Amino acid sequence: MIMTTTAQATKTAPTTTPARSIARLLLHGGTVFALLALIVFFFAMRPDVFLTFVNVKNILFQVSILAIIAGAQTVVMVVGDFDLSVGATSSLAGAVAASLMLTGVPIAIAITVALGVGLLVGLVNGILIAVVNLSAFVATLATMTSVVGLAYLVTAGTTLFDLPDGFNNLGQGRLLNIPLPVYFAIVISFILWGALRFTTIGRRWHAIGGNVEVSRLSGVNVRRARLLAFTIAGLVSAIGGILLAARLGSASAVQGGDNMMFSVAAVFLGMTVIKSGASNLGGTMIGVAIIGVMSNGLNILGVNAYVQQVVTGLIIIAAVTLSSLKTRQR
Amino acid sequence: MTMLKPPANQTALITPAPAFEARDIVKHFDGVHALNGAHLSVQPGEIHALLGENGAGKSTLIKIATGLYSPNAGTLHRNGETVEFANVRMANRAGVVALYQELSIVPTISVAENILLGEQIPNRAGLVQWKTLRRRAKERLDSLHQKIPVSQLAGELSPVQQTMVAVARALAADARVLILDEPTASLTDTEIRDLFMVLRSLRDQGVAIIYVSHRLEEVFELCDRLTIMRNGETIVTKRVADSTINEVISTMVGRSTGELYPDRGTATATVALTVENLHGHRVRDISFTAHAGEVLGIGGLAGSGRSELLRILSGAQKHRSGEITVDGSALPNSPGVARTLDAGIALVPEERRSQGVILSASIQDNIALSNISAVSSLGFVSGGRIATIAQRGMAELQIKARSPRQHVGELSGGNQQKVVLAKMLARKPKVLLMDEPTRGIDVGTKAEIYRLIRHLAAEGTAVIAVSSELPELIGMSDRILIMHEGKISGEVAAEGADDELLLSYCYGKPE
Amino acid sequence: MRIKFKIAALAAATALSLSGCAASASSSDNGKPLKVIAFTSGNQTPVGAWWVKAVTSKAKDLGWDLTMIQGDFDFQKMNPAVESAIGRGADVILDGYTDIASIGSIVSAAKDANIPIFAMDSSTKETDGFAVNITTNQQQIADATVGALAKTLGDLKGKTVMVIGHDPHPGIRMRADLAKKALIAAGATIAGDDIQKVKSPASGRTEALALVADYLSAHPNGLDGVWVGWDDAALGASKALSEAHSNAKVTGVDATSEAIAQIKAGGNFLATIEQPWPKILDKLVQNVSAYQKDRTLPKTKFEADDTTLVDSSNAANITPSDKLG
Repeated sequence: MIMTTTAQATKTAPTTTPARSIARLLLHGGTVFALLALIVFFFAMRPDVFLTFVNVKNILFQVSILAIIAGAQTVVMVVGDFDLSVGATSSLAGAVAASLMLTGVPIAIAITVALGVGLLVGLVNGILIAVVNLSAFVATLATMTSVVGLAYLVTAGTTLFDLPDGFNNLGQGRLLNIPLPVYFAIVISFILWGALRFTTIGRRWHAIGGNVEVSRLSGVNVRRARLLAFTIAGLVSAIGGILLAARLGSASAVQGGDNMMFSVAAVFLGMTVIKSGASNLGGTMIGVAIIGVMSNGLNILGVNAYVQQVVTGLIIIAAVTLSSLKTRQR
Repeated sequence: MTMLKPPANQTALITPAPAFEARDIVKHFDGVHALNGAHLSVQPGEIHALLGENGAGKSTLIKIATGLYSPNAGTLHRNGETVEFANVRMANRAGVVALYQELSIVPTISVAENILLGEQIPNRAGLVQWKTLRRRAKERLDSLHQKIPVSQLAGELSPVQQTMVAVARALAADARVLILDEPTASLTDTEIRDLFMVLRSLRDQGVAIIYVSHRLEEVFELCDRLTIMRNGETIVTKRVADSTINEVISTMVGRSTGELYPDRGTATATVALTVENLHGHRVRDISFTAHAGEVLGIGGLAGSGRSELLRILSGAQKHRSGEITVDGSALPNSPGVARTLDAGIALVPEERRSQGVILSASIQDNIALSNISAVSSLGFVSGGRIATIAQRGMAELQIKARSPRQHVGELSGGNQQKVVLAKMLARKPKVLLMDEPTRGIDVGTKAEIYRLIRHLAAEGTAVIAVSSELPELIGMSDRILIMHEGKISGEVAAEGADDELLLSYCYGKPE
Repeated sequence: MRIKFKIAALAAATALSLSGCAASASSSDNGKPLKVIAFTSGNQTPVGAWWVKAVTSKAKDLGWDLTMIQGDFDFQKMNPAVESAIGRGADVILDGYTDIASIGSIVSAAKDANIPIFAMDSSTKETDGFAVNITTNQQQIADATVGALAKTLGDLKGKTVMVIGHDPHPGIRMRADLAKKALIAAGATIAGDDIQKVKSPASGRTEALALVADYLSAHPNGLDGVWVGWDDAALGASKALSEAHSNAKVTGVDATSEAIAQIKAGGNFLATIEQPWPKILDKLVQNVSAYQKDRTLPKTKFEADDTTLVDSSNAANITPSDKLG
């Protein structure tokens, strides 16, 4: 028995009064509003620091890798699945690139192989979910476990370092005094946004996320589209992991593992930004920004790290609750 | 037709106080009126039909009657006393219970638990007393003369058995006002007869039954009185014996519909689809041809393989053997939906909301979904082309919506069905498969859909439509195939076809 | 979930068959090999991995019948595994780097079975749960690192130093507290008035990086030094300082090869601490042998050994902690 909750069909188109549209804006924009409120709050607390070039650059640098991994997560969540292995895949890719370079493999080849590894993990996820029909939760939980193990094997449990300067520059170099990962994050986000919005596969992903059965009966090759979504998520996660290794100048089996939870949180925050409540890249970036601004702002105010963690959770609950009000008011 | 207000002088004519009454109900959402002066008065021991097109306000009124919504104005009365229901529990306690089409049972627990759901489960120190539970549940079912194993999972029951379980639960909660919303939607004719028997016996026990349905034939067979709503207002309440179907339809629509079914006479001799010796899940040895310009109806009981046949033809379901030929070229085995669409076969599926449209997506995105290659080049979709294809579809099918960007979930059932059609018609199919083309659609839109089907046929499309309503099957088709246990059990020309003959084919009996 | 019972039975069996004479010579009087259960939760860290290897090879040399249990930081699985091994009987239990607080059930099972636990780096103070626990001297570690900062910065009076710790690790927690006290005693100001806390060791490097970067963004040139409880996080702090073009210096603890390389390179990474784990293990094994001979238990239950400060003068001669095995 299928239960679908939708607005009661009404023949008359709802009329919009100005007061109502402002209220709507507030509800729809709950998450955007939260971000603005945070920025205003931190700016008011430390006007001399918070919105300075150095600090804004700091925030961008700190969230750039999370932005990339959250982008990967967005693609999978548009299709209506999710991927618990993005963090682990990124760690593995960083570790593979680092270990190859340490054995003298040229940077370009090491990066290519690492990207290939990410692609492969994504492909395996895709096959398990789209072809073997495992649930995304089970499949990616399992691959996450194995991939972490592989990363331990690749790094032999240590932290790999002393990577070539050319490689480290990818993560630490600057252009116009702005760190390179910020550019990478922007470019990748734009590509993913465009792919989701303007390409046929992007529209298919949206349709599948809306309703798998309808999409199938409409002639969409659901299997291939889901497979591709997970593969791309693996590839993009690998880019994030490689940049993290370059940014830190080192690679370990666990680094960047926290990106998985934060990426899911960012996508969920982003889902509250638009009316349909679907995951969307613009929203995800707002979610990433909230997480980044929170962490940087609270650090600047010198708030205890444990308190920060509690507050971050509360902000997520608040933003999501605010937005869920809009669905309930019907 | 006169407006029937419920003033005191009229209620005085009827001896007992109404079991349930709603007076002058007003309800608006975000400033839009859903109800604007609705009345409903139901006597104990009466089956009372509540009729109206989708969007007329029936569902809202029911939700107010059962405490899901609270009205902005107006009052509710139970046995003459004013009542207020803050929630469903309060309504249930007052004996007002609604059974919805889809959410009435919990499929993953046993029949017995379903029947006693919401009551104190018999237990000793927290351990469920299964024997007592089953015995009580069985008593309830016995009183309905139903033999349903109480230990079975409710999800494994047939639709009518599930409905019976839901009724049994309502009675277990001592319902005296029972509201049924489209209870026969997924039932076969025999099952419907069983249900009616139960409902009549409940009526004779003094239960007031409010019966919401689009199936007017059933209403005329079962109900004592009817109330018709339109645009949130109650238009009339009268005895069924004093009404005719045509009169009811024109009252519901607010104008005269004319003939429900358009004229035939578009069929040609050109073969559009040939099916030979098709075998598959629930489908055995099916062979037939469909001609360009023809409307071929397919009937049969639920489970006879009608829907499966359409799913196989559309590529959504695999088949074991057999040939499908469209416009002279044979389809490969198990081609998949994309290939059959390319070959010119399109399906309008049975379950509109779960199979036909993405409710959370816009009209234009839904229409684009089956036409991605038409609206894209080199892997990129063109917003302009999506808008064009959507606007064309909306204009052709007269879809009533604010804009192509409006979400399909906000449309009425009939308009949603038109979106499904628009999506498929943009592919210019040679063969259009339709599974229950008018299920859950109000009468006015039904006529529109029939005209549209005939219009498509006139343009040379072969339309193959499955329907479980015999009048519809006869009215819209040129030729009717009846299926029984996966096979074609009979073929009849629709014009002047005889109900009883069709039914006998449905049961697999030779003439 | 990922528990591995790497029972070194095979290794032990080979050892016995190959070195029968040596084994009987060093084993107890009744000729039976000493039954040893060894466990560590930290086997995924480089030092933990070294410990597993080192204990296995000692067992081989000494003819022990060794059961090695590796916990992967999963006490829910490791503790029952150790307890069931205790149930099967043993003479001695070895604990490497697993804090007493996490193994209460093992300690009481061992006590009931009357089996002594010989531990290294498993508590920061004396406890009745262990026959002995040999660890490093946290006070001396704090003094040495703070001393290194003082030496380079001149006088610590009026200087601002950030202290980065990680509370769940008892050793780091203790030395961070001690360092904070020592810094305050020397007249330094603690940045943010308290120890900055890293939440997860997995993201220690990025967390420390963000802590320092954000602090400098709020207080440009506001740091003279950063004292970090372990090298991985110290490396993150060091990166943040150089990216902000700060002149502040960093110290760490652990002597990882990456930290040693930084020290050799002469950047802002001043010093780290080498903890003499091989020596401590040797001492622990001597204690076990003494117990095997005539059941004598060590006189003191807690021993804190001195460590070596690693700075540019001796960095070349130090074996990194991740290259021990």
